Amino acid sequence: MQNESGHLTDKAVVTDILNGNVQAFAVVVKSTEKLVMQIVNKMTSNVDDRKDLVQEIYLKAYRNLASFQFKSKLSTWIANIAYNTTVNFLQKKKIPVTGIEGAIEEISHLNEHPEQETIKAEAVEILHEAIGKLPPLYKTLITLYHLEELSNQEIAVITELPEGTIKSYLYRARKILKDSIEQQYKNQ
Amino acid sequence: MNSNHLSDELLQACLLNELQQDDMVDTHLRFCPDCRKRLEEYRLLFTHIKEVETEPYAFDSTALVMEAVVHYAQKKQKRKALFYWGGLLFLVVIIGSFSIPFIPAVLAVFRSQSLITSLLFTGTAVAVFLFLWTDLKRQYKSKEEQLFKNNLQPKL
Ligand SMILES: [Zn+2]
Repeated sequence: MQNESGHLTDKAVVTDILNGNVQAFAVVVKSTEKLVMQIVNKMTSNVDDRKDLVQEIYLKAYRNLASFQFKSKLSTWIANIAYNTTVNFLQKKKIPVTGIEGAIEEISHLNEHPEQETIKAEAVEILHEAIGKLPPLYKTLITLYHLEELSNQEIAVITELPEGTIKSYLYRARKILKDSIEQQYKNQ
Repeated sequence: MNSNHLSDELLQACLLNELQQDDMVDTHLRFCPDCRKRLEEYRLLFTHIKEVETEPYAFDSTALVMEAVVHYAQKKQKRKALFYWGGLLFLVVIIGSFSIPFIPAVLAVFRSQSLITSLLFTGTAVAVFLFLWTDLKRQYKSKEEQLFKNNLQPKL
């Protein structure tokens, strides 16, 4: 029941759960929580909201497990649920998911904080802050691509966006991030 | 040297290996320090991005999720059991109430026969019932085994 990498296959775990072994769902949660938390954490900031979202996401996954078709990896399927649930949540709260103009403005002022001018700010730190200022969707795409190392194709399944759109969002986000670092060094 | 510099999109694509081998790009990069510098900046960005720390979790998501999922599964199980036993009770009551008028008639059949005939009747009925019951159980068990075995074979 194990493949070469030693992980239980999606099929075996899902079958086990559908046969009534509720506790086996913990295996699914453990193996996907990092990805799910990346999506939820990048799009929301309140801890209580995050808790509610994570519960809602996995309950949805559990309830609809029988409809999982094994056309993608189980983690991609759950990440798709995570993405849709979180975007719905943001839309209900009328929080913009993509609006980039405000973010560019904010990021360009990142280095105007007086306490930062005195420190020789590290590029990684600036980057961390700049990513934090990006709109939820851009943040999520950057994280999925560069930190989770997912392909554009996998991200397209998760976000249900065309690959071209994902590419152009990623391109804009990277340019903003690069410029924010350059701006910082110029000012020093 | 070309006065049109390489676009940011092209530079990003270069680093992400999204580009086919392109001699024009290579040549431009070789002779243009400006674009080489921008390419280097992107290379640095891609290295730094991976070093950005992920926020530590503020809670144990597995425990949180499993609590909700187990609660949901138990509730569902209870609802299913209630539905099953409720339905069964309902059927028994309905069938029982319909058969009440027939009870004296059935008893009359037994009363008119000798004891041996009555015992024979009852014995045969019990034997047939037991035969059907065990056969049903046997079939159910073999089907269950088959299902279980097939399900655990992952389709790769
Ligand atoms: Zn150039």
